[in-house]
Amino acid sequence: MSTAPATHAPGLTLHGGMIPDGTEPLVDPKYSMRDVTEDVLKPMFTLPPLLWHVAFGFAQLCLAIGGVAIAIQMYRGLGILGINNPVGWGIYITNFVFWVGIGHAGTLISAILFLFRQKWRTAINRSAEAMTIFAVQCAGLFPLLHVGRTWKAYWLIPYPNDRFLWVNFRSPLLWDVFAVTTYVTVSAIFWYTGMIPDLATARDHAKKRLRSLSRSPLKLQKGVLHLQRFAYGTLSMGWKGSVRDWAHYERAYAQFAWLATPLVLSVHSVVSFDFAVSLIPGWHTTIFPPYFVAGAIFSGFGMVITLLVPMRRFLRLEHYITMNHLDLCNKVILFTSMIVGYAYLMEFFVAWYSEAQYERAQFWYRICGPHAWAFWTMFTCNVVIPQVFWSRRIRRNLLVMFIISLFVNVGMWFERFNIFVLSLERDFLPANWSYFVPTPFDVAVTVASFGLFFTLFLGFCRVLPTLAMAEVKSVLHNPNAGGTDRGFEIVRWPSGPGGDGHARDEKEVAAHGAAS
Amino acid sequence: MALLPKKGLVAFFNDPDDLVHAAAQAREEGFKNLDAYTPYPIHGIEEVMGIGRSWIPKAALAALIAGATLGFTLQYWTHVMDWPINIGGKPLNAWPAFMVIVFESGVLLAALTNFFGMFIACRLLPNAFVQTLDDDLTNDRFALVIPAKTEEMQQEAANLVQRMGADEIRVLGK
Repeated sequence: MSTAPATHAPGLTLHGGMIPDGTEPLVDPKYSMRDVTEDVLKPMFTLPPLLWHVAFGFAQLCLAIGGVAIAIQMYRGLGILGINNPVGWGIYITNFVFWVGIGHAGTLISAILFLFRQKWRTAINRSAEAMTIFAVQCAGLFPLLHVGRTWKAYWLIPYPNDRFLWVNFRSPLLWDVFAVTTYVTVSAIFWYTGMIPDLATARDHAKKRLRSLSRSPLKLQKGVLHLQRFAYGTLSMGWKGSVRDWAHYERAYAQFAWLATPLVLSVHSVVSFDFAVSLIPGWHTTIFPPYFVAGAIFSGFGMVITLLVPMRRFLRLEHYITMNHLDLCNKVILFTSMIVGYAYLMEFFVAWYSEAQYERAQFWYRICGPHAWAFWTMFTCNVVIPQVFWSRRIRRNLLVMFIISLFVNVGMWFERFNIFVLSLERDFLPANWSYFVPTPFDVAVTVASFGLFFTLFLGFCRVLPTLAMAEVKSVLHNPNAGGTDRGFEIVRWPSGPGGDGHARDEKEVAAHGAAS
Repeated sequence: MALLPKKGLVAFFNDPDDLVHAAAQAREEGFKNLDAYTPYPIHGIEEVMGIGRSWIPKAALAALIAGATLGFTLQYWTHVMDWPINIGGKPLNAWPAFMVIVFESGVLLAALTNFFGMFIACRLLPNAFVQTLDDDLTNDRFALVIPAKTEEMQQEAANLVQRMGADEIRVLGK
């Protein structure tokens, strides 16, 4: 970001000037700050369409079915699930790791891309972070259910108690408790911090609407607006947007990015320790931490596409979440798909190269055992299908990318299924071997987690600002469209024709100014 | 939320460039304790207005170290001092195994300090009926607040902001 010198060279505007070489700005220059406010707040201040009600109702139905299944499981115990000896970790743990992985894209977009000054993240970070938080909530459900006696799950927390026992800090399972709870806490407060100025915008918008309705007889509408003003006013904590506050706010925000970056890389590493630190063939490998992190980012971006493609259409945010955003997300999917593919092949190579008998047997079992269909589903969805994203036309085709993102979600679910279930099915003693079959209860609780996720996300779309308005305003080409072009800082797309795609630094700006 | 001065002038702008130029000019002409309200963070305005760096990163760093120390102390104390149990022949002070929680507790405490530090620094409290200067300051308007006690100073400030393109001027504390 260019900083403004206190004195300006003649002919040079504050934010660094001239339009360089026809590269595309992030947001179409014809949109002003007022447009951003109105477009983003519109879903919050209007009634949702029928289609939203249908989707929300369906999500709640899924949640209700799973709720019944969970209640039955609480009553009857874990025996109603497919898990048994030797497969003690089945669908629940698969779902846990699947949902934790989904969360990673949100933090990657909000923290890592922030540190790399990737300004295009501003249009998608809010919804991606929301996805993170909801996904981690779904993830948290599964270990709590999997412990069987969920009402005793608080035993995982180390506190002085009258059982006179401490938790075992040397166990990876406990590391996981700390990693996931820290992750969800930090993601949630990071998300909320980013939202405070936007909630203040919503509060002031409600105030304005109330004033314009002051003489109208629409009592219900006024009541709702009063409620909204109260809710957004409370949540925005009296934010006024003083530059002194912005100075603290921005430092805190950047600080969050610095903290969240190692955190997001650590969470899935720690999750992978649950497996890698054990001695089961197929689990006991050092490649797991980076392999899990890459897979998590891959699946997370898959879910980002699954959510953003409909969201931008139904909330009419196509001008802010543009094809360029989706194109870049698809490039990330392509890249991480190749990392994941490399990890799959490397596992096979190491199994062969190590000459470890059980390790080799495990990997033969994966590709040609009775569960080989699960392996090949994973391989096709995660490694083969995303290769079509080499084509720019496909990366920019909404329908195709949506379908591919569904394949990615399915593939990544099966990746976890492969790692956990297939490794456990064939352990050291042939007498133990089995073929895992999930029960309807496994399926119902899985469906419930999707119901929970979509209930939360659909709710988010209607009650909170889905775009980081304050951030989008700071990358607008022309903050007051319609007037003369004030030469506001143009934030261009990375890798556009001719240019590095970043805001130029002061020296370059000065050089430009001198040249003109 | 920064507090408004008792006496002074509020100038509204539609353009962030005008605001920054006006703030720079006002500071050059000797006005002190300027403040501005903007819908989004304008980079570089802190330097123009002479606002120092935030103390939040220092607090967060201290919390990071404190959290990490606390995390290690908890694990060492429970495993080595309070209730030593031999699990699988591992050493009681298995410090490499403790590192994950050292990291997590450090990050957690730093992030919480960062969060609540921002609340303290910006004086944020749940306040549904906060009074703002204008409803559009969180939308598309910019305001410069110039504290000015005497009438001459107010006149001088008014001339200045008018010259710099303000589209509305209000006097505080008449």
